[in-house]
Amino acid sequence: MSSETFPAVLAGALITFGLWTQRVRRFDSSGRRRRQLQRAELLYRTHSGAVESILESESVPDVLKRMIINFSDAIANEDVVEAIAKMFISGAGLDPNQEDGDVREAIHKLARQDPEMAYVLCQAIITGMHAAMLRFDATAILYEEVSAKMAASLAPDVGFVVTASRMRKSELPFLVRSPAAALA
Amino acid sequence: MKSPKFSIDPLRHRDRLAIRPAFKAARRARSSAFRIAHLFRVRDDGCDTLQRLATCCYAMPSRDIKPERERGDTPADLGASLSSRAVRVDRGKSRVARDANPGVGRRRKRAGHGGRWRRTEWRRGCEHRRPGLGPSPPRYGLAGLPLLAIKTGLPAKFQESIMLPPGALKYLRGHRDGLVFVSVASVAASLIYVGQAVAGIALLTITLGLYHLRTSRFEEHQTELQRLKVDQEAMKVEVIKARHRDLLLYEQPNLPLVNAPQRPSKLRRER
Repeated sequence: MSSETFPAVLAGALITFGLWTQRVRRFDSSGRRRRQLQRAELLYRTHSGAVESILESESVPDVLKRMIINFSDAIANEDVVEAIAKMFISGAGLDPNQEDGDVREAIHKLARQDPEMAYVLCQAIITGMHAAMLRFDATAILYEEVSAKMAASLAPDVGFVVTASRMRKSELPFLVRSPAAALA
Repeated sequence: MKSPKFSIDPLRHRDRLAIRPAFKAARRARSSAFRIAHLFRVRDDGCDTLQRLATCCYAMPSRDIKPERERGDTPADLGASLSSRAVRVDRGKSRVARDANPGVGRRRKRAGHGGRWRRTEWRRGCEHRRPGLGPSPPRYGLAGLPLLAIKTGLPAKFQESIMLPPGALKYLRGHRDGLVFVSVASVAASLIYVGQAVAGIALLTITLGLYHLRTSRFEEHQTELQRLKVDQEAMKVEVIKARHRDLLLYEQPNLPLVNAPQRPSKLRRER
């Protein structure tokens, strides 16, 4: 190789190396995102089955049915899911309140009367949250951190479910309100 | 004049039969438009791909026509002689075929497989082409461009060396992007081989860039498809919830679901 062609060959080799690096990186990222979406699809299937079981069950009180509908509506919104993810990361905004206490009492009652349905309720909440996290691009980036925080803090706590239900957009066409609020 | 079919015939009989469509295509390619069209129609099932592609290229009429005294030993002359012989054998009832295998045509005619059946079977699926050429081979689209570049724009030294791996096109059937990439990369490797290193590297870089763009677009498409599947599952959840909304609005969530579609919703009643 002559000295005249060497710079051109070197430049071409550098450009080729850059392109190849970019290709490998893009291959990794797109493959990871596709796998995340596949897991989200699987989780949504489980979530839909659990939601259907809860809504069709006679042993589940209305409070929990409204809660699960509100929660499922809320996690269909990307902004709400992102806000919940940031709440989990920061650890703020998940304080219990009066409604949380009602829901907690209903869950304890359900666990005593129908433990299997209480397990299904927990499954619907967890799969719904994970599927929503993996569904959207903005929250899929935070998934690992949020899932670790969720696993560490969720076990007996339903505070985030109630918080998510409150963050649900009120302009949705099918708003499920409590009977007292509807009559007021 | 001695027939050239036995004097210059380096190919085996099986290979000659396999490359027959390519030769026929080359024979028809008298104008540049036909030349481009038939470059894209090179068949891929049969003998060695490199050999067939190279022979197809060589069989085409070249731009620099040699003097009369030098003809007879070039690959183009070889291709022309083979193509003319192949066409004669292909007609089945021609004199060459009868001499090669006497009695075949007559036995078929007596057994009921007459000329009409044979002609109709032969022409099936290729009505737009001249009868006798067989079914239309698959197209390779942009994969023919490197071959076109070989024949038109590159020096004669490069035309002697086509560094396409044997069977590459066969393994890449159906993968058009990969086919284009391998073909252009082979041209780049050939350029480097003949001493045009800068042009080869440049072509290789451009090829890699195009490959990167096309593959990225394909991956984005796959991701978008998977996202649509997730949205479909999310819509199923919405359908399940929608069946219970009216019941919860009427504070009768434990009603049997079979009555749900018959009950007018609150929104419907307001209309």
